[in-house]
Amino acid sequence: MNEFIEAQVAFGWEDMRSSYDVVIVGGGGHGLSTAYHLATRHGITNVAVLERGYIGSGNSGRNTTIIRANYSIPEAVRFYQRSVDLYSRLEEETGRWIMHDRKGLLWLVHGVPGTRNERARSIVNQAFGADTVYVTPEEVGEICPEVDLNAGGGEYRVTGGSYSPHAATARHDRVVWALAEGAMKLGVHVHQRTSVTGLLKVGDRVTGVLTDRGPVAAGVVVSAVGGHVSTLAAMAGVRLPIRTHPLQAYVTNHYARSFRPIVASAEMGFYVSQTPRGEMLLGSRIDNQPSYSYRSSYEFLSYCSLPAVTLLPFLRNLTILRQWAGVCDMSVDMSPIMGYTGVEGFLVTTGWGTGGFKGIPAGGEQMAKLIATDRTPELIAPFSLDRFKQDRLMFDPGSTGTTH
Amino acid sequence: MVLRLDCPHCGPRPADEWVYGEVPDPPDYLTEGDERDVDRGFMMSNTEGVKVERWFHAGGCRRWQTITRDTTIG
Amino acid sequence: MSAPDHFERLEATRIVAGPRALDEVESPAGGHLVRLAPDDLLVIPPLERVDVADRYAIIEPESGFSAAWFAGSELPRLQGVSAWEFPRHDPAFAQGHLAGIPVKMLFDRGGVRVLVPTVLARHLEERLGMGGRQ
Ligand SMILES: Cc1cc2nc3c(=O)[nH]c(=O)nc-3n(C[C@H](O)[C@H](O)[C@H](O)COP(=O)(O)OP(=O)(O)OC[C@H]3O[C@@H](n4cnc5c(N)ncnc54)[C@H](O)[C@@H]3O)c2cc1C
Ligand SMILES: [Zn+2]
Repeated sequence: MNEFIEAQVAFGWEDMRSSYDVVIVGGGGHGLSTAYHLATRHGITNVAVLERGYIGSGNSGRNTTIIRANYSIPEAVRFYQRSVDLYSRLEEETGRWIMHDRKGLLWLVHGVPGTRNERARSIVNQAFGADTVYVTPEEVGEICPEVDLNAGGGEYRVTGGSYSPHAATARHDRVVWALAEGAMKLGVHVHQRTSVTGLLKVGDRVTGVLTDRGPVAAGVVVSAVGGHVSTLAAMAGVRLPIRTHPLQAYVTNHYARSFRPIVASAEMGFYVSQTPRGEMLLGSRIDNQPSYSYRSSYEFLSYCSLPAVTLLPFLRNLTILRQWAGVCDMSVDMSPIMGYTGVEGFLVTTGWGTGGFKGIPAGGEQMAKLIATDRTPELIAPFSLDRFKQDRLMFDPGSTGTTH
Repeated sequence: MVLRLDCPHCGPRPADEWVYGEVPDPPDYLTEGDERDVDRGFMMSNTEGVKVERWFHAGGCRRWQTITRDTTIG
Repeated sequence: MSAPDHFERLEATRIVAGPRALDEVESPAGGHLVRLAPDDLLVIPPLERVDVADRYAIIEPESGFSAAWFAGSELPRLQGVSAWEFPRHDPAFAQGHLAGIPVKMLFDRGGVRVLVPTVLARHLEERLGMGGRQ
């Protein structure tokens, strides 16, 4: 696997220095995007990304790759729309094909409360730059003829929904590789098979990391370790409003026809899209229990499949091929947490939970800006950790539920 | 495989039947009242390893139970 | 008939009291004591009067459950829609999810009496493929 990745990313895999200006822990999308933007936007290249497995081995290589900005609060719509825009330029910018495919997202509802939500969502989206529109059941049928608007005659008859033409998918590991390569081209180091086991401190200040390959000094340490953030933050004496939950997904065998949009129903609890290989990719809600376990369950297959085959009967004829799980850093208010932690020299980018793939470009861009300027950029100010102290939570019905 | 939690009253039951209850555990070094309150309200240890937890057995005896679990396995 | 086609409203007495006091409650003739929790007892059929050695005991008629009897031949099918193991011997009481719905099960004489909250009875009938009330 490592040889394969090293072949994908064409630039030098260097030896580790004893000191860097910036050490980023975690070679997932967010760590690599932060490094990429430090190098490309700010000329900061004395940077190392330390990854204990291989890059993309965390959630960034396990997700269902939905990129969307149809959130329900202004701050989130603005942030994710920025990320949607950056994603659509990433191929051109990096010269790497990430299989970015703008296929649109159909978000279905089944009753009055949902209908009201989707109308509100469309208004908020349009006001803050995302192109979401409210759609009637007839329009749903036109956008995706496979949907059984009657939901098999049961209680989940489709009463409408919203449609976001901007929504897309991309090949997850290609995103990770493109960012790694772009950063390494400019001199950033990426060290795989390097586990951070502790933090170096002078007083309360974090001054570097301990790794299984020795200590590394750092001007600033950024935690980008996905679901493992609480463990790393605890070493800095930082407590976070984060709980780690597994999230599962599965793919079926090949569906012979092209299935264009991403279809989601938060009320029924599933979402589905078609991969470039023609497989149907399905996801649902997180596992109940907080856990760091990667095991898959039969329960997941059943609670994800029942609503899916009810709304999209053609899925009944397909076979489940593979199932897997990732462990997600779920924040109390379901919104990300970026920036300062109150401990000098220690920053976090976390709370990406079940929905952080879409935030990779903007998350990295903004974290890089924060590091380069030592000021919190306006776009992510609402997502700082001190919002919990200030009773300024960012609950967003558009980020909870089941469509990531 | 499904995670099972062993209910002292009902026996081993799948996690689906249970509701997780966070136990606030502000660390001792937080001595200032407001800080402790914020911690109690929002922060979590999120232990990666063995942990004593409270779970509500909603699908069975409907009582809170104390259960020890290794979060890296189950 | 081995498979019932619907659940029927069940009358019982519910006693919430200290565990030791509940240990002492006597079973009505031909009836059942169902220990839902250490401090929670369901008595079927309902008791005319009852002595509980706990002056804070709450004793109330319980009419929130519906019940149906399944013969032994139905047990494998029920076990198939449950993610936990039924007791191997009867009489025995067990509770947990059946087809995703919380139930109480009284295993007896080779079969089982299933109690389900009445609000969920229709869903369970549907999931177990029972005919339902006409
Ligand atoms: C099944 C599933 C479906 C999802 N679907 C979507 C979706 O459709 N759309 C969407 O936007 N998001 C989705 N997500 C969420 C998304 O995958 C994540 O939010 C995102 O990938 C987080 O990126 P990250 O870089 O923060 O974390 P990760 O990609 O998890 O990277 C963290 C890295 O840190 C490393 N690490 C951890 N501890 C250490 C240590 N001590 N030392 C060194 N390295 C360490 C890990 O090995 C890992 O590679 C989904 C997630 C899952 C699991
Ligand atoms: Zn129990």
